[in-house]
Amino acid sequence: MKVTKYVWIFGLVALMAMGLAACGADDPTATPTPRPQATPTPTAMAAEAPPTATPAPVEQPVESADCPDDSKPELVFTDLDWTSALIQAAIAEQIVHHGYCYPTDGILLSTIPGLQALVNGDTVISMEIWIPNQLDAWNEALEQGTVENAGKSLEDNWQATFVIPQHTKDANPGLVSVEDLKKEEYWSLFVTPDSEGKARLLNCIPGWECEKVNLEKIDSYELGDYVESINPGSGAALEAEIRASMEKKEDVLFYYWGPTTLMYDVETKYGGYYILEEEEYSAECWETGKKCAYGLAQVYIGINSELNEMAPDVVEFLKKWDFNAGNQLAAEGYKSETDADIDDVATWFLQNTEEWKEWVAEGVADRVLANLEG
Amino acid sequence: MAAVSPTGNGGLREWFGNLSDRYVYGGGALLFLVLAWMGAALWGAELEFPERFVFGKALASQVDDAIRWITVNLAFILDPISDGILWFLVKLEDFFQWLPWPVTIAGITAVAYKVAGRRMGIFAGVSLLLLGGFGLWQSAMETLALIAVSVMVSIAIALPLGILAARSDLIDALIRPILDAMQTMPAFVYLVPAIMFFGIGNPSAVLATVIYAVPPAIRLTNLGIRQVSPNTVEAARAFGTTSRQLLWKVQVPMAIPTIMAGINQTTMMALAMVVIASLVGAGGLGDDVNRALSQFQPGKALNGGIGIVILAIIIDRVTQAAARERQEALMGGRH
Repeated sequence: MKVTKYVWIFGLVALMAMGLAACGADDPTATPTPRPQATPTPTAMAAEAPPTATPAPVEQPVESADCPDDSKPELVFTDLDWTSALIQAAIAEQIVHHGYCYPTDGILLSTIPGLQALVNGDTVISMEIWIPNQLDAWNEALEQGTVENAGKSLEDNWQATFVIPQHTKDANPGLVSVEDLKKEEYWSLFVTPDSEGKARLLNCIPGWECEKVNLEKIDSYELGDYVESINPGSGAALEAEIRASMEKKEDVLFYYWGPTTLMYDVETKYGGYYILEEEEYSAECWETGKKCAYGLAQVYIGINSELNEMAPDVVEFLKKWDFNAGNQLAAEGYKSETDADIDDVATWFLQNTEEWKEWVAEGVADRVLANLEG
Repeated sequence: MAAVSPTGNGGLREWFGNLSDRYVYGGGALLFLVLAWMGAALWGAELEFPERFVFGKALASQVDDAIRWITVNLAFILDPISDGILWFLVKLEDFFQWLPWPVTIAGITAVAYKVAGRRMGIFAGVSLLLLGGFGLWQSAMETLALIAVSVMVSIAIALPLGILAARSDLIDALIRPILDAMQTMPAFVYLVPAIMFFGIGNPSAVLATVIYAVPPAIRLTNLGIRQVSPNTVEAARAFGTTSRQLLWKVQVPMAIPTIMAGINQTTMMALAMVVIASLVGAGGLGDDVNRALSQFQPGKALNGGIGIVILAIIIDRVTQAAARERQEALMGGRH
């Protein structure tokens, strides 16, 4: 008895809903409804005329207006989880999507899962393979023939084991080279409760090659009695700790690399940084204890070999890719200044810089810009 | 005619009267949704949320500023807290490392045997030897120190808060949603502020662990005290106990098995946070797992994971058995 009533009510409501929804769908075309959004039509005449004539405009972003409508395979990027890689991936993705007209997607991954996805073919492009930090895994994948090196990525990079803030340097002008860390007046600046009475050195991300290199350097400089390596746990933690120390104007001794958003901020907002002097890099010194500065890291663009058949034009474009320090500083600087999202940074980069137009095939640059406008 | 109208009315009222409230509200909500949908379709409104009402980004940068402000201006409070936790943790870790491993294994085995029985004793001894065999002894001791400090801090927070919540419905209602948020907020959200405040290393790890692990201890302390039978409370009052005596001599002792169940859960949740804690530089088993992951060494990661499981099982069984023992003692006392 009761149940039937509910069924009846529910049925009534459902019927009403369906009927009204049907009417609602018909309505806009049947009766002219005032639609302020739709009025800015090209000519004044159209604006005068009743909007009945114009079909209900669909409020969808017009994607890839200039792209010929053929079905290309979807290209999936490995979006590695740090700023420079994300920016490069976003710029490349927008070029591939709007210029070469492939559907694109990106998956956010950390280093090793990112490489694994590339090997499996779940993703086909990874914009930053830091060779020194994943040498074994990368070589193994290269041997299997599932991945390929598609040219250089970041080029003008630096990394240094012993970096201090400029405010520390200003207060201690005598702290010049790595050897000075053996003087008590200097190593004692960086002592904290967890550093066992030694200077606390924020090391590289655990498991990366740079961590081992830094430890080796501490050994070969015979700094073991003066410097304690501290594991930051993750890139985000390392960055946050450095930022906090900069905000508090504390003395801090850290490993870092650039160009990065953090180092850009340190230069522009926190008074700069100072790299303790070391002998210049040489292959010879690197093989015997690494008692010298880092050389340039090799950073490549990695692709899954299938990309050669899926999108030869994109492979060609990636091989011309040249994201040098100028480009990187422009993009990361814009990000730091405006706090913009990565995609907006990429759009800004494409609309406001010129160099990338030389990397792409003819006509692609215009198509990218036209599509970004639309 | 005259007969129809009352019955008709009565019928209608009866008709709706028979409907329980939730059907009426449910139907109303459904009707509203349908109407709203129709309205949207009718007016061709954009179904995306209007841009001018979006304030997320502005809010986020306000939060960033606030975090920076706290980092700089509250350092005089935060730094001593951080140093205190660190000092205590370093001492505890040094102690665990200083203990020769056979002594530690024998001690834990003996406790497990006494509290949880022979089988658990054997399991504890064998699995701890296994831990050494995996090469994880030092990491396990570091993790143990981290868990111990996190649980101690959690208890120090949970007991007073749980008691307050048990004695005041208002406080109970206030902290409940906060506890829900603490348990569900993804840890990555508060890890970065934790580093800004406390720096890389164990204090941040303790903070993150406590945020995640403290809610069950608070909830179960609250529950344990509220569950003490009204008869017992009345009897105690009849003997003229003050409210403070009632709390400390009757309610808290009676609630201890429940409180211990809460601490057991807190400990388990703290162990679950070990790998996340390693992302802010905490050492131990979590760091082994994190490091193995970043070098593509699934086997090594599994070793570390098994180490965490071994610690978890031993701690869980022993504390559960202790709670049960206490419960039985209480039941025995009542007869």
